[in-house]
Amino acid sequence: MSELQGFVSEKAAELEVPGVSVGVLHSGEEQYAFHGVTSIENPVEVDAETIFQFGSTGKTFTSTALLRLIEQGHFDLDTKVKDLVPELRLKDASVADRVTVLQLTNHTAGWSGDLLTSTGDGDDALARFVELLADIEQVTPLGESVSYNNASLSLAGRIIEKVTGLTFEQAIRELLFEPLGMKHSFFFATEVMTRRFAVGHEQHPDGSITVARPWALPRNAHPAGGISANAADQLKWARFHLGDGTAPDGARVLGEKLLRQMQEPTADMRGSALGDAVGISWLLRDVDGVRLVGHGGTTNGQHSSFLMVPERDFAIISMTNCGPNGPMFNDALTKWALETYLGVEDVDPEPLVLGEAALEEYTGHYATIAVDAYITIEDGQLALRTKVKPEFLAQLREAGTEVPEDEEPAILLGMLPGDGDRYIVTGGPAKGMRGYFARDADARVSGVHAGGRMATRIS
Amino acid sequence: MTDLQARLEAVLAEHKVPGATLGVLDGDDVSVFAAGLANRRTGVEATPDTLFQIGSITKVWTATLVMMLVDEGVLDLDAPVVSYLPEFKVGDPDVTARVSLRDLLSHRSGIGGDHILETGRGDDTLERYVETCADIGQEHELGATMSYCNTGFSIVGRVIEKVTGKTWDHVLRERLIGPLGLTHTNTLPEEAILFRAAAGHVKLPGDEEEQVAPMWVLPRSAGPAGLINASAADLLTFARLHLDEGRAPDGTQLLAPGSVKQMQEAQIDIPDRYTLGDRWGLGWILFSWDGHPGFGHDGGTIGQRAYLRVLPEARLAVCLLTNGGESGTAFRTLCAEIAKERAGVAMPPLPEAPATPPDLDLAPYAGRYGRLNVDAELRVEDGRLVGAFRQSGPLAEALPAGDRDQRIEAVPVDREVFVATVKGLPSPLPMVFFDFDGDRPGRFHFGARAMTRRED
Repeated sequence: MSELQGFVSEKAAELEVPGVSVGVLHSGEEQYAFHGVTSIENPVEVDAETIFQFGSTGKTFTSTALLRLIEQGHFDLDTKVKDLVPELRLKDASVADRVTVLQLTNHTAGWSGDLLTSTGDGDDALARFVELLADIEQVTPLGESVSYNNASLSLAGRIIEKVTGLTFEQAIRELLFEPLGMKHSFFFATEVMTRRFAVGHEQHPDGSITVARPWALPRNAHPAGGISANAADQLKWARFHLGDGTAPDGARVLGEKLLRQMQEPTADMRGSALGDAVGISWLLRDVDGVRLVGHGGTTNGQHSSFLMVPERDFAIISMTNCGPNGPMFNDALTKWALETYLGVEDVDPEPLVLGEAALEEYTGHYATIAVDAYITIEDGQLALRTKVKPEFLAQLREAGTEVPEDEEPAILLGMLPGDGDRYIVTGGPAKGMRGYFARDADARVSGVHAGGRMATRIS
Repeated sequence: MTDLQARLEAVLAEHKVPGATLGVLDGDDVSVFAAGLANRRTGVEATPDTLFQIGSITKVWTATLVMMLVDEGVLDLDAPVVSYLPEFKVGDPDVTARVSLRDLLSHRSGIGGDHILETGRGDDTLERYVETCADIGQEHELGATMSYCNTGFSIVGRVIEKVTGKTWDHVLRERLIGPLGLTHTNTLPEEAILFRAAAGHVKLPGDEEEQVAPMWVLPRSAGPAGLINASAADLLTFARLHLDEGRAPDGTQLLAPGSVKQMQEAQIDIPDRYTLGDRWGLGWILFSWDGHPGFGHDGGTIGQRAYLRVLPEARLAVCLLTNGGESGTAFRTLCAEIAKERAGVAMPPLPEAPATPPDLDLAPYAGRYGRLNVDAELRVEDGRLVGAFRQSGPLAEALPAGDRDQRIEAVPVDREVFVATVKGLPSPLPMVFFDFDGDRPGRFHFGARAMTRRED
């Protein structure tokens, strides 16, 4: 058994993750490790063929497809979205007039990004979704800061449809899957279900594990993360982005310059759950002297990570079918792999020990479109409790999602040294996750950046 | 009593069926047996709760929904469809004006039946489907005979949507799946994927053995005609609704007893009275075995075939859900054995070609015949009647070119009934000629569809 398989088997068993699929690309060589079963209800062993929903790494597909269209001369990164989607209406008309293609891909559009409404399974799903954006709140000024934005990727998907005249899914097949030989990457349940595929699970506080329902995301979320694939196709994606823009058969898919540009910062995050900066969809983080380029994703009960170290020609991908232990597995695996394969140490910084008086200004009620967040002081530490908003919960349930009734435990935050009101999560499944507090013009704390999203202070 | 598990395994092996579930309702006892694989590619085994596509058995569910709405006074079986769907239109203006739900539910409308096409995955799929029907021609005059009509059931589904304001899938969940307590029944791939769902198996050119079909499911617009996925136990619970005068397992009256009865009453004779049954009710196919009345339906999708037969006097129901192979023969074998053993009823065999065919002049049978998307030419060759069938249309275009053509050879049993051997199919099928003008037939019935003579 390989060292990789050994670590994967041991860690997945320890964390009780039902199924895992891992791939490593190191000095041009591929290694794989698999563990467990696709579903606890209908267990089939996870193997090289097994397809997982890898979620938001799909955003990098949407962006790469945009760049192909840019290279074909259809538009530019700085083209106004309105020139391509003239029917775009936003709550803030000036944002609708000004927002650019690049701002859709680097999470700086600033409107609430977690609109989850389903606009049906029809070919008009994205067109109808774009109509809904007219009612979405602008949370941060356009272009000013990074706040994770699924909705902007759906809008980007609509651009692809408009320019190609194809459905988004067909465009991605033609622009990416086919030229890159990705024969095990799919969007629809009907394509996935005759193959070996994973279903998501939820591990509850009492340790029990249940299947997460439903399996599929709304079709309008496909450009934000609706692809399912096996490990080998994920590594094909990594190989392409570590390469020079050509496909395995030598055909040019994207110019090398644009491919590299995707991995250069376009927006800063000053240390958040997502990393230090965003490139073009890729999330960037500097660790121990090397730049990590990656993504990862979460669907209903499936959690994946995708990480490349371009300067060392290295990539590791991991797909799991359970939360919240799946992300813990991914985190542990990634740290282990960076150290084992590259000697890169990803050590969490030590938080400061502050008195209650110093912490007081961060406490309060914050909110996004989807959740309320309450920060209090407990045992001398900041404690963050999130609660999904009732109207959002109702929407999820209306869409058929089974939402567990479990009370979410408090997440403990420790403030980090230096400027920027940065924090790190000090324990639990999200340990090591980073974020920061935002201040308004009067230097009062006005928001908290958590899980990659800006939550605005209510009181 | 016969060990049905062992029989199922033996019969599946003999007839090369990848996997199946066999369900038997005997009195109030339900038993379900499973054997083989749900999917040859993944190696996942079929289990009693595996979901199969029940295909056209769905039509009886759609008919049941219509009858529930008739009970409530929302629909009238004899009112013209166009009174519910003003936008409805087929090729013949008179049919457009007159065709009723009763005509559609009993396949006697004459509207070209295999108009199956992709109108999207959206909730507007049936609305868009109905828009595509405007030019469909007639296989026969309205009510003159019957010819199996998928088209009609998609139209019926749209009527249900129009009067309820909900999708067909939603109405089915709300009125049947929920109240019957069915936990393993659904209509969309996104729902089926979280169950152990069987894949259909087909033989593609060059294959030795059947393998997983390239497409899992038919277009969503075919929903009301054939897109339910169900376990054998759930299908039997549905059949039981029609044995229990419309009562759900918990006693709720879902359908009026009179409506249950009406569904089992003949609306039209089937020219080929051997293959499925001799009359069509509302949704149900009706037959008489050995003097005992029965009702049932078959279903076929892309590589999956399902069968259901009910003998109400004996309170016996048998279903077989399969995913490939010579499933028709497998079902006839098992069903005949079970009907004999449990109900003492002999299931009549299919007509066989006589050792010495009657002395019949075959020349008047020759000629060109057709229906929507199918053309056939019958010729006399060396004293035998041979036929070449060619499929066209969107569904045929999805098939490998070789599968669009079918060759048959037919041997007469008598003046009307022939037995046709189809190249590539294991067992012969009845072919029944009717509408004679002297010695010259005007039509034949094959696979529940009427093929009409095309004048040269």
